Amino acid sequence: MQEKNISTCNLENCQKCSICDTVCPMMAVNPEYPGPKQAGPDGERYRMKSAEFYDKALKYCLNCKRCEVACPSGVHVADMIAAAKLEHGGQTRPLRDTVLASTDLVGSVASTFAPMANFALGLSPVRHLMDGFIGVDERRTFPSYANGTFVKSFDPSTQKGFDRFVTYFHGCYANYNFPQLAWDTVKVVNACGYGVHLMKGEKCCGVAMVANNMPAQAAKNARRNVGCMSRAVAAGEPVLTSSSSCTFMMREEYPNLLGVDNSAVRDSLMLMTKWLYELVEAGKVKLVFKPDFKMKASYHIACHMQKLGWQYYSVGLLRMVPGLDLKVLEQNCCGISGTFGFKKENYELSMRIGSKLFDSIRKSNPQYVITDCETCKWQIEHGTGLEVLNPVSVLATALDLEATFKANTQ
Amino acid sequence: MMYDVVVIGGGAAGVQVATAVSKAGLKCALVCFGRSISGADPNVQGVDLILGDKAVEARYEGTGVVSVTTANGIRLQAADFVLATGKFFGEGLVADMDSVREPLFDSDVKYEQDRSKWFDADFMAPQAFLEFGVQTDAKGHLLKGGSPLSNVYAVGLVVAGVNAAVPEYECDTVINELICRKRI
Repeated sequence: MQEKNISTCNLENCQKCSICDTVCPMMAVNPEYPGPKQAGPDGERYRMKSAEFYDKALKYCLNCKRCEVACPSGVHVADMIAAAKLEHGGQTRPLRDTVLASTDLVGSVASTFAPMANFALGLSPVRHLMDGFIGVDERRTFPSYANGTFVKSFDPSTQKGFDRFVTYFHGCYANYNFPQLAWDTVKVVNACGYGVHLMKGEKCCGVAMVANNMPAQAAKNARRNVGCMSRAVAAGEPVLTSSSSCTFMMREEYPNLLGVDNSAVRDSLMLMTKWLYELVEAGKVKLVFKPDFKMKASYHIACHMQKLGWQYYSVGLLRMVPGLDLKVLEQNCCGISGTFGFKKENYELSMRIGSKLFDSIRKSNPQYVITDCETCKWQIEHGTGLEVLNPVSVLATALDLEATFKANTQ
Repeated sequence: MMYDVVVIGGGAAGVQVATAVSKAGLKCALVCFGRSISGADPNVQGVDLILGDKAVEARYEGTGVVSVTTANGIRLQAADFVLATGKFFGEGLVADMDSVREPLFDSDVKYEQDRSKWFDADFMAPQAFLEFGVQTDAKGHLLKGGSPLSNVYAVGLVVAGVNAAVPEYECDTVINELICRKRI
């Protein structure tokens, strides 16, 4: 008698309850997508017989993991679909997809010529050309590029005075587009009495490469990143991140999807908000807030954040801020799914998926929206016109950094 | 963060308890997978939703529980805990070849000792396994090793004698207990 499951994704556990289908944001708006039950465990039984049963409609899967979050039987539905896409989805892709997924390359070039790049990307004729020739929807506003990367502007000598350190995995967004987030992170970490080290040779986490069927390149980046992180962890430093998707990618998808062993670093790799929350709860770090800080905000749980379950920590920290009127929104997918929503053929779907979230945001009537994912930020700003902040940036503004530093270094 | 009540399981009974205690002003967290097969919506106003997760370990002190830890590594501390994990589908009860157990608290389960009597081959006949479940005292406290846990309650299908054929679960006893304890 077979005593245990032999599949890697717990295919045998599927009870066909269909709860996964009820939470799939793509299935709700797109009749061409068969849904997670069929794309996942149902389809897998056929794909195991022959690759010719691979359904091209799996290209619509957003990799949001909401099906896995909902599954009562422990089936790794989303992993199964992602693995099938990598195996059967084909290695050819339009140049556009390669470019969108190569964030390190595009980021380095664009941030070198940032003023020109931003100016060009802001012009409708340019976006119209991009729409017609390479298929990036002209309705999208491109995130602007910073004039020079965060890494270039970071002076390690400013961190010399500390005797305890963390390593910061800044990721592509904070490095090329929005160094302000990286600086907010450094400020808050320093105020807690810790110095910040960067890693030499940090590469893009690869989440966009996986989504655009570039597993070899993603695995290469993965091995490189794990190597860098191993050195940090061996030196006794946790590796802190800013983006929920980078974190999820490196902790879960590296071993589960790319076969890259991260066991040496996984437990020490976490979002900055988790690290900070646990220290404050344990009484090891004190936070001193500005008494006159006031903000009304709605918190959006990014899909990958929900899969990790770590909104518990970000919300926990935000709840410590006096004067912050915070509403935690019911979890809904924003619809952008990273590079997916930039593509011309996906724009309408992406906005239709996000409309439920946009409505709930408008209904909650906030000044700001807070979320841990930068691509959610772009989508929510695009769909609601509201400014979206990372929780760490809110903390950096709400904290009395000097008083906090004094409280943690005496 | 310290809660008044942590409800484990987001089906009809769990959501009913979370809704009632939250309305009464208690700080409540609800741990569940996703939307349950009962159709109940776990998004309850004022309740912290720990979604896509399950409580896997309990920490005890004296006759009670101080915290439960989830599969995602979140440790939830509370004054009171409510077990509402259902029967076999969501693994509120787990059947081995010759016994039935409740995996989180390893509490006392009422089940038919003779395995051949667990089910009737006639599909339409009453099925004994549908009445298996954990044992509670008159106030709804979960029994473990014959004694009630001081701050753990059980409601819904996980409880012995509660059958899925019944559309509503009696949760008022436990709800009243939770609200009254807070007022003291």
